Amino acid sequence: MIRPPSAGKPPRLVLRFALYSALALALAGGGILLFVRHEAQVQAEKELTADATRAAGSLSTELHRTDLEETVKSPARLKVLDDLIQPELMGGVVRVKLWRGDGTVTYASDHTLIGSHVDAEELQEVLAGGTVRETGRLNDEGGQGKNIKVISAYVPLRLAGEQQPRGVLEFYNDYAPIEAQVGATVKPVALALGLALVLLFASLFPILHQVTKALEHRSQRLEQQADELERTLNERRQAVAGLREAESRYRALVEQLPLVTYVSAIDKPGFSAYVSPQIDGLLGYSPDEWLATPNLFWRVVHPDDLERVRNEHRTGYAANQPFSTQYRLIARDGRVVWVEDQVIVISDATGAPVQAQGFLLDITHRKTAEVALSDSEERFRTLVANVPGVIFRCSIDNDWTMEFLSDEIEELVGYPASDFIANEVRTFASVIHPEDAPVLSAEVEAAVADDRPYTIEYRTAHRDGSIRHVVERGQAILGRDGERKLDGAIFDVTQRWTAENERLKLASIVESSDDAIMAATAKGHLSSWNSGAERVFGYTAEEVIGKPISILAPLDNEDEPVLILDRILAGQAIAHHETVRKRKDGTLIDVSFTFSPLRDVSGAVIGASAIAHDITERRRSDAERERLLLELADQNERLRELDRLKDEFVALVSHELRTPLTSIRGYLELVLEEEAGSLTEEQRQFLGVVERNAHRLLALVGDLLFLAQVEAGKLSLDIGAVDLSAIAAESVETARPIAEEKEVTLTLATGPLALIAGDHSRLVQLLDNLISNGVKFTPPGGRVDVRVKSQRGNAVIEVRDTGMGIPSEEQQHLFERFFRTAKATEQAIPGTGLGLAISKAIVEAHGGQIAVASADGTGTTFRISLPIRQTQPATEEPVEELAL
Amino acid sequence: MTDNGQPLILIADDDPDILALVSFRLQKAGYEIVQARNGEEAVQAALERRPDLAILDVMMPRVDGYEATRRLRQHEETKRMPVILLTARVQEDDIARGFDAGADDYVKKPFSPQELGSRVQAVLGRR
Repeated sequence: MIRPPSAGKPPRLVLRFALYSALALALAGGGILLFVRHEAQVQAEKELTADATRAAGSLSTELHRTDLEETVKSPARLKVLDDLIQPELMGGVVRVKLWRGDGTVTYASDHTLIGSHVDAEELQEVLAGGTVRETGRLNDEGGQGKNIKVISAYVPLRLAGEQQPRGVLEFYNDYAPIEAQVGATVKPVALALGLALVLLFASLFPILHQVTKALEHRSQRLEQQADELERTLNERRQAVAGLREAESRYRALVEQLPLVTYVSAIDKPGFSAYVSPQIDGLLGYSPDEWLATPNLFWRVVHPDDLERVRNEHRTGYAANQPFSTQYRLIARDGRVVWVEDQVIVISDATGAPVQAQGFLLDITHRKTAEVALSDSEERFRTLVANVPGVIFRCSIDNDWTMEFLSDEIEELVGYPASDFIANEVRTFASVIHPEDAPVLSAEVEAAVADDRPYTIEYRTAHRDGSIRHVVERGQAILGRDGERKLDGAIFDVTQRWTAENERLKLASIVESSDDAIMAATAKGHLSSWNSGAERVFGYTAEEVIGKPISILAPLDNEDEPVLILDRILAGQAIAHHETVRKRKDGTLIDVSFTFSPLRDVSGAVIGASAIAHDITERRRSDAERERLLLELADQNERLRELDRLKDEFVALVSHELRTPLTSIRGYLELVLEEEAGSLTEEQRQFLGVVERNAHRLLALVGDLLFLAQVEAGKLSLDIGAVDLSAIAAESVETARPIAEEKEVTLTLATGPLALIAGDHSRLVQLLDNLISNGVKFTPPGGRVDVRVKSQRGNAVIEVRDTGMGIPSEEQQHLFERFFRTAKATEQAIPGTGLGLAISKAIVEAHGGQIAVASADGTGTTFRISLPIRQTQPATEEPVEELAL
Repeated sequence: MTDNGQPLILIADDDPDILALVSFRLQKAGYEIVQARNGEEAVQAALERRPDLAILDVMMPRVDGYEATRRLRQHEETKRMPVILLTARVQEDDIARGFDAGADDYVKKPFSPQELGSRVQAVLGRR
């Protein structure tokens, strides 16, 4: 805001006037002062120059040339010059200098300056004949004493008789006298000026004061006027702001209502004057667009409602009364919007309607609900028909008497719904499983008592005899007749029940499995874990469910589970994958995995299942078996080597034994044949003993060699047609002398017997062995009976003795090499223990069998059966027993 | 055949006892005898004396009975000379080896001198 000048200003104006006047007077005083000083200085310089010129004239005869050419040094000369040039005497100067032309001081009244050198340009000017003046300080070029302000003058120095100046004389004089002269001049002037100033003020002040007062008054009035103006302006502003606020408040209110407010001119049909922005939300048109487009309203009214709305509007305006109507509008995006249109008609002074104000309320939801309600009955029927369950309403009685029952019941129990309505043919109670009926009744009763819904599972019987599992949900309601009824639905869950049972069965199989069975999600998290898995891996299900499968992998193979999972997710199955896994306690175990993809109902792979079998033990036993096999092979190799050595040994021994025996027998034979002279009876008897023993030795060697052959698998038979009966007879005859000697009765009985295929000499050896054994082990008075017969295609030889018998515990060892019974050893019955081993080998080489039957003390029977290879009718006839 | 018309028999064995025994028995039976102590001597003697029969022990040092038989069969002079092998090795393949080498018969040790005599007679008679 602009304010007029303040009322306190006029005195300042006076002060300023006074200040300026003083300043002007001071400047005038200063100017006079400078002028006076200049005049005084010029005067003083002129006087100094005149003094110096005078002195130079007097010195021209006194000075020597050397005084101006060389610095004066000798004290005598200095004294002369000091006396000659006394500053006090030369007009009261303070210092005198003599300059050589090149700027060197040759003499100075102040001796310290002698010899000093200054490049003074003035010197040249002076040497040319002029004079120079300066102001400065006494010691500007050096020197002693007070450094006072001075004026100096240079004048040329000529020696007597010379035209050209030879040097320069400089005089310094104190400046103070000049100042003193100025001071004396200025004081009266200043006094005069001060007096002038005071007089000026005294004459001007009253006038100034009056003018100031007038100005002050004027400015006060201006200020008042400005304040008033300001106040009025503010009031105006506030009024306008209030108005605006009110308007925007109402507008905001209107524009926030959940309805469209509009104003339209009746005389301009189809043209709105105002519409609130909600029109955009309702129909998708902006207010501007709505106002700018003529007849837009009539275009968005639903065609089916258009005629009616026109009529209603026309009637409403004519009646000049507020009215309300409902119709549909079509939004820009095609939505159908139900609106309630409430209209107020505004009339002009003459009572003619001019304007319609109103609002459109969106009632789409209400309308939709109304329509829905009207459709509900129809829908109920359709719904019930489509529900995959039985919908019912029944009485709460023992029969569950049905008032309504949907047709689905036929699917469930095999009887039509009509059968049950009012218990027409049968009661609903009759299809409920008898075991479940009491539970159902009890639950319904409880639910009715608590007035709460109930859910219960029970079983129903189908007409075809099958049992169905159902879930019933229901609630008691109050029927129209005031009786309490039961409304509910029954769903057949047999399939789900069966599936659940199946699932439980499978789950229990999985749970009880010794193998670890687990599953993982597609993201590699464990999702199932049986007790086998707990045993194998040491984690409980709680510990691993949700954990990544990699926790089971050993550190050096952490990626493997994920790589496998990728393959499974690709649909692959992997069987018997043997790998290493880590238990909870960190130990590593060998496992054999079988992986398969887990699929959902649509067949998509959603994870993987794995069955793991701990094969650590198997691996260990495999390794153990491997080791034992190697050991065994090693032992076998050693045994084979031993066997080979044994065979070689036996062969060698038999050869080495046979050769000397050959000599023994050969020479015995010669001696016994008396080729070496006749023998006495005694000699012959003794040599007989030698021969017998040589023969025994030979037999032993032969037996050993035979067994070595058998064991080496080298026994070969010289097969021919053999008459066993003849061989038996021969062997019996061979043994007879010994039997007779022992007083043992020896008999042979032979039946008809075909020739068999066999090795004659081996079979002789066999029978000799058995018969001589029998004789050997039978005490005197006993008997040995030999029978040869044919029996079931076999040739059978029996050698029965009445000897000492063989205890049963010894029988099993009887056919082993070198085995001798305890009794044989005790009674020193001669023998090598090889006979029966050889007999058995011969029998088995012929494809036959040898068996022993014996009772301790009552005798022994050896029975041999040999297959008859050469077919020839063999009739079994009574054996002819012959005493031989 | 010797000067006196008796058949000449070569006997080779490294065992002097047996050599003497067989020699004695065959001399008694009226044969002329030439002895050898090993296979090499036997072949040499056979080539020199052209005996009617050779009785060779199988187990002899240096050149055994099989080898000696084989060598005798290589010389024109002794190619058809009957050879009887004396052997303590009586396993099948030993006997087969003897026949393969070209022996006419074999006698197992221990043998009876009498038996040997009859074998000799039989082999000589066969010719």
